[in-house]
Amino acid sequence: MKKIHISILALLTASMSLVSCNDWLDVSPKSQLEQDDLFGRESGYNDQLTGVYTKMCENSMYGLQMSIGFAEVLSQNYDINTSSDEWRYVREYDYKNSDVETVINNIWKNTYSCIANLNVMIESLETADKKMFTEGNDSVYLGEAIGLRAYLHLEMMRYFACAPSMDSSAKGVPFVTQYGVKVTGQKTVAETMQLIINDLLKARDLLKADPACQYSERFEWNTATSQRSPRFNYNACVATLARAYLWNGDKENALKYANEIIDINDGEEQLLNRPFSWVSPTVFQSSNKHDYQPSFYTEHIFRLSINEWEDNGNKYFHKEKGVNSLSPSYDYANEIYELSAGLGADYRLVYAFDQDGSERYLSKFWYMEGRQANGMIPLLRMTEAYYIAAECLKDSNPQRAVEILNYVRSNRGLSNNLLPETLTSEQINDEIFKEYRKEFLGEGQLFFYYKRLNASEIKGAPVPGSKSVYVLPIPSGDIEFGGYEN
Amino acid sequence: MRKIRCLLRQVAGSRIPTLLILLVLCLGVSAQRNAKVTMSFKNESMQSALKRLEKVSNMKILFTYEDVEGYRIDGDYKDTEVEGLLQMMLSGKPLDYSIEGNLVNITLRERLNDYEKARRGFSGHVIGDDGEPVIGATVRIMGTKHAVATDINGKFSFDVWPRGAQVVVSYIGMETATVKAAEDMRIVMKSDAKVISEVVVNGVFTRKANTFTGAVSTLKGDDLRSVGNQNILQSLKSLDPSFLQIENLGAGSNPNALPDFQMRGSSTVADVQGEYASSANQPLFILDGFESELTKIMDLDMNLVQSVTLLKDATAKAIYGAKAANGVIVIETRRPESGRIRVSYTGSLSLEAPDLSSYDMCSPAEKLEVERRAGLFTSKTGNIVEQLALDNTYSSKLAEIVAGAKTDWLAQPTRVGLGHKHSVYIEGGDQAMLYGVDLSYNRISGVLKGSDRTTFSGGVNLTYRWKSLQFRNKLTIDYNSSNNSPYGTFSDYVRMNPYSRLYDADGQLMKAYQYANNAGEIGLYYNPLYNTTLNIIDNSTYTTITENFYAEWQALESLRVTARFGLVHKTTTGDVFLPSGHTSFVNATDEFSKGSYDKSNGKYTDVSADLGVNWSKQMGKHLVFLNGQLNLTNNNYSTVGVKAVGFPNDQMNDITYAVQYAKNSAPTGTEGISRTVGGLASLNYSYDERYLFDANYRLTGSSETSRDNRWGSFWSIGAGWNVHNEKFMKSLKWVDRFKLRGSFGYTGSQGFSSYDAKATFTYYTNASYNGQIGSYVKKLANNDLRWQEKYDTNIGFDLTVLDNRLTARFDYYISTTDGMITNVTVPSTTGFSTYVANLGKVENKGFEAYLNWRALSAGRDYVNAFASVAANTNTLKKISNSLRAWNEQQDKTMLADKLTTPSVKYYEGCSMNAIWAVPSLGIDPQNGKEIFVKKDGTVTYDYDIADQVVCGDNQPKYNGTIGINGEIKGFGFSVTGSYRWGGQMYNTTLVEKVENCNLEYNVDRRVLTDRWQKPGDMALYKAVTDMSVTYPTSRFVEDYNLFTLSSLSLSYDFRDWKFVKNSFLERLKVSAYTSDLFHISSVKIERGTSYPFARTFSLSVQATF
Repeated sequence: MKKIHISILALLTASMSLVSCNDWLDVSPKSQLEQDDLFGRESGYNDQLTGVYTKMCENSMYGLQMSIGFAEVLSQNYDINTSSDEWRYVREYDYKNSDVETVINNIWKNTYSCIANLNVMIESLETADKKMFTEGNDSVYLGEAIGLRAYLHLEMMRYFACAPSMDSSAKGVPFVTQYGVKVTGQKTVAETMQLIINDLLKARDLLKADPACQYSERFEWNTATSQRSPRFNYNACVATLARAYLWNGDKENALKYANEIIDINDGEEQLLNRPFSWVSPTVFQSSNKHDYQPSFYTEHIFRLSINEWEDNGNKYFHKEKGVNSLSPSYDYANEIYELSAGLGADYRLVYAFDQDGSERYLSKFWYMEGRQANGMIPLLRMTEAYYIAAECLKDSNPQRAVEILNYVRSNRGLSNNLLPETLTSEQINDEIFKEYRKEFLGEGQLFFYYKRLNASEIKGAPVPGSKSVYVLPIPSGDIEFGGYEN
Repeated sequence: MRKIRCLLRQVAGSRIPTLLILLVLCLGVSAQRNAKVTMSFKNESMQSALKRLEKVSNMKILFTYEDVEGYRIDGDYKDTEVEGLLQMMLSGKPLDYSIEGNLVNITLRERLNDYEKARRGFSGHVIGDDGEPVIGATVRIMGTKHAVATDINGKFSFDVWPRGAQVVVSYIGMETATVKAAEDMRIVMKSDAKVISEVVVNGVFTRKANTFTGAVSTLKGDDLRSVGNQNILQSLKSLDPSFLQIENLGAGSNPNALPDFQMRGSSTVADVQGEYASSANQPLFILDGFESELTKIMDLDMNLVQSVTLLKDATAKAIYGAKAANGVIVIETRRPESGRIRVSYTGSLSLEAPDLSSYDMCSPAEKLEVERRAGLFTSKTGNIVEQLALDNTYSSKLAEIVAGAKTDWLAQPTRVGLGHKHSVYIEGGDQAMLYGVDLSYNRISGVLKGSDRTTFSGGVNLTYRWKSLQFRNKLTIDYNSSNNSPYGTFSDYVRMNPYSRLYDADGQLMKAYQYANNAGEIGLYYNPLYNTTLNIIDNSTYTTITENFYAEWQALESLRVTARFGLVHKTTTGDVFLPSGHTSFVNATDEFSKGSYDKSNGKYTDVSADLGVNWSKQMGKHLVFLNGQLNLTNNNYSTVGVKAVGFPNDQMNDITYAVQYAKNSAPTGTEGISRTVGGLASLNYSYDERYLFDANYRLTGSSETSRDNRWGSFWSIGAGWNVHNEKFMKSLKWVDRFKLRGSFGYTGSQGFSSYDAKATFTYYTNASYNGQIGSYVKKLANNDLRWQEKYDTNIGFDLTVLDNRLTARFDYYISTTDGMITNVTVPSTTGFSTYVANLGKVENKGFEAYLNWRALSAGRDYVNAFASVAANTNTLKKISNSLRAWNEQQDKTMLADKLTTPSVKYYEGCSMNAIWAVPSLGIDPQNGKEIFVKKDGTVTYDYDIADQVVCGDNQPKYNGTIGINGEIKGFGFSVTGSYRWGGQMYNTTLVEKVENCNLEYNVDRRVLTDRWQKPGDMALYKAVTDMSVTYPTSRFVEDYNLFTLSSLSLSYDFRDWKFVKNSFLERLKVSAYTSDLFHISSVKIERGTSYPFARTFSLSVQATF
């Protein structure tokens, strides 16, 4: 009998300990945080978003390649020196070159890394206890994360898939919404665009709680240090919607969301404390060069503030880089800004170029000690909404289209060179192209303008535009291990 | 027994009441014993005689036929009293009589004693030689069925005491004792080393070897010590071929290099990340029941080792479940013995001499000739001025050599290292309290100047007994300090040109030399000796405190409850100081960044506790052992390292003198916690010691696996048949033991890092955004990550024949590791490139055979010869996609980095140790080019990496040991050799020092003798002028057979000398050892490239007071 008691006791001890063991075995690493720990408080979501923005600031992404570097070289806005070892193969669209391949692979890899980081956060957020958030903040975080994820997917579409105008039934890029080992397959361009747009719409709804669209006095709008304004906020979501619809060829919706942006700034009832506003010419008159804001940061809807800008800002737009410098030459810049047509007063030429030694360089993103605008790289500019609206209206309402373009001209020091209202649709189109070229110089957008229209001519390019130029190759590793194609 | 005590048959009850009745009867009956009778006997049987007497005397005579059978009576008796007649009749016979009234009782004399002594019986207690009572020992009266088991105090008693009885006491793990029965006897059982092989110690419990079905090798401490006195790992590999040290031709005999071992083949790929590459296949070490690190085992004082058990198959190792897949090595240290205080001292002196026999470098004149032949002194342009200059260079070099410029570079950094070792053990105590104190000091001086390893360790072992409770406590403190040689890497010296003088004309040590390379360009090369004149520090230390507590409660005769608690706390430091004058800072421009100091600190705490229940019972022919155990472990570790720079003065060699931290450096480190909980149930059943059965079940929960796969269960089943115990075998007298056994089951191993299964986040440490620090997810978590499982099947037999002279053991096994942990490549759309998963399968199969012949066994003298062989083949059955990608990467790297040694590649159906190279037909005698065979069979001069096939295997087909040892009249000897047969090696010396040789430096002599020179030469190697890179080719894959005389030792025991017998000395023994005296190899390759190999000679004295 005694034995039986003992064995019962042993069994009880065993089963009791097994139950409590599971908790004991949950070890939290000291040098790393577990998912539940990080996302167990509101600040964790902010930290995770900050992490994604930090990653986006890397050189392989918007810190260099997806803004002033690779992306802009593709647009041929810089007349790159043909002996540049860093950029010549990019300029020639030689995507097979191993250095270029590395740049492309990193764009793909790091963008999807950002997406994975957003996904893990979105998954936690969807199941999180909403009580831990300051009221409404949970929707803001969710909207920001979903919106940014859609933005990044749209970027991948712009780089790695056919534009809908080229072939909407071609394979799009994988639209990844899950963190995990499961491989996400590809859908067609049209389907993928729809997924992106759906997410953007969902994000827009969620971001209505965003203080950025409540226009209240308590929020300091567009200062360099303000927490929400440069981020992927409500307005960024709207602007992305306009961009996505236009990319998809849906002019009606593109116009709708472009107008929403225009109305904030130039609408019938202009809002006080606007989240973005036209650059004021007075800043250029300041005797202190540090106050210069040649990238017109008050006009940014969504931008990255790159901390480590000193390196790139001091090199690529200076003589230091020699043949690898990133600036249109003196003559090429004059051509872009139509000096011969008498448009030399353009702020974008006058204030965004400067001398370094004997040469003139693009000074839009120069790094200057103590300058507030250091490293502010715009990803969405309010003027894009104007161009989208103009493009959507050029056939149905050319006068309005011209009017919209003249808004821009008059805020670029060209009040005396306004476009005539009599312009034809084709002429308007040409003016829009010129605007893209001028406005986004150094920002990596023009290439996608060509691509969206499947243009056969890329100005300054050694080869004509074609699918092999417009669709960047998916990394070979992912073709092998993910079964992807493009 | 057939009785004819007719009368007494009516009286029921025991003998004592019967006698009482008889006594009562006596009182009333007058004595008839004095009645006189006359009788005559003629060779009459006793029973007939007694029956007649009964009639004649009118008395009742009681006897047993059996008792009196066979006795005959002769003689005439007249008017003799009955009693007198009886006396005469029984005289000279073992019969007694007693008369009670008219009853005569005839008994065997023995039986009478039986009666008398039965009233007393006898008792005693059994203790082990450690002074502890032996509980549950079987005490049997020899030749009878009387047997009892000792109680919790080791006591026993018999209620019978047959005259002259001998008692036989037996207990597993102890030598069976036979002692004459006595009052209140004290029987001491020896756990003599010889008997250890009769039990299996697995660190959790002890099993009778006779009924155990697992595959194990048990080695006694004395066996290990007779082979060598360096450390137990060195001795172990000389004795058991299944314990294989992975040959490291680089590290040689570096005392501070941790060797890499594996048992029964490798079951984990050296992962792409390489995190576990060095020890992925290392077996689990269990020291006194607790998991232990390899370092601890390596530095363990050999004199403390009682036994080492290698657990090989599933039955043996399943109790260690999740960690046991690579095999388990269980080390038990000695426990104090009872008695008066006893002091044992072992001291040894050892010499380590560098073994440079594998080097065959050019002499100054030969090297110059090589340079000349290679065209270093021939103008490429044919310019006559240039040629004249080159001629001048040549003649001045030649003149230098003739003048005696010659440096023996190999001798510069090497020395004969003098090491010494002292170990003291003090023990004693009584049954209640036993103590053992050990102290040891071991200093090993390596053959590279300045490299040494010093270990101090001390321990206190206390045992306390109170009633049915027993407590043991062992506290050990180890301190180790190791210095790496400031002389750096040995190969830096080997390659120096022999004609380079050490000192310049002023007698100053040369700082640099100018050497010409293959293209004739002159470069500057630093003298590696120069740095040694500086105050370099390369030291690491550790301090370990080990506390083991053990409590035992004998709850019932058959039930024992044990509890153990173990704590290991280890702190480590590492210091590497390079002064500013070091040649590595020659190119540094910033004065304040010259000189560097790397400092690291580590902390490691391991706590384990377990609670066990042991139950054993013999029920008739059924013998059952049951064990249960619950345990938990908690392991914390953390390391941190910093690097400081700027040490203006060589003497300011503390990190606090640094000017600053290294630029852009941050503290580095690792940190982790891992926990396990588990339970174990183990059953050993045997029927009549003939049919044997073992079953084990282990459940382990680990913090390192994913939440969904937290618990791993491992099990094993084994069966055995003691054929020698069958009736039909009894007639075969020459077979002493023949056991067949088989087992199968699962064990696990981990092989992934602490947090691989989880999505963990960390913060950017080098970037911020808008003044905030962001977080990111570190890796792709695999929720399905689980233990990698190894399925072992083992069959084998144990055979002992010819009066225990010849012992053989054989095991055949197939082990399949499933769910092998590897990196799996995923498309980067997941945000990551790889994750850790259970993919991949590898199979190891092979056999082990051991033969032992006791050639002589007389008293203490013996001669023993042994031989063993082990074979293992390794096959990858399934690999992950990342390994495929890895293969491609290896090929790419090979071409990009011009790697000349074969890369490790993983292909399904191939061995993990395969040597990949392109088959070669050798050097074309016509033009000195190498002819390759393509995959389609055609031949070509062009090397194509795609033509690589498996040209060999690094692992030996067979490896084993062979040896003889013995002791005759106090002289002991031991000779052990080890061999490998089959298998190949890629001869890197030939590739790097002969064919792809860099003429800047010295080269192997074969450059001069064996390279192609002119058409028609049947040369082994390409032309000396051919500067093309030789990629892996079958030409350098050589069959690798090796024999090493791993140990040779002699000893003498002074036990028979008077001065020992008559003094306080209990024992005095001197021994001499050598290790790695020589080796015979089929491959001529440089051994010990980073650190030379050493031959060790040592002399040791062992004394006990």
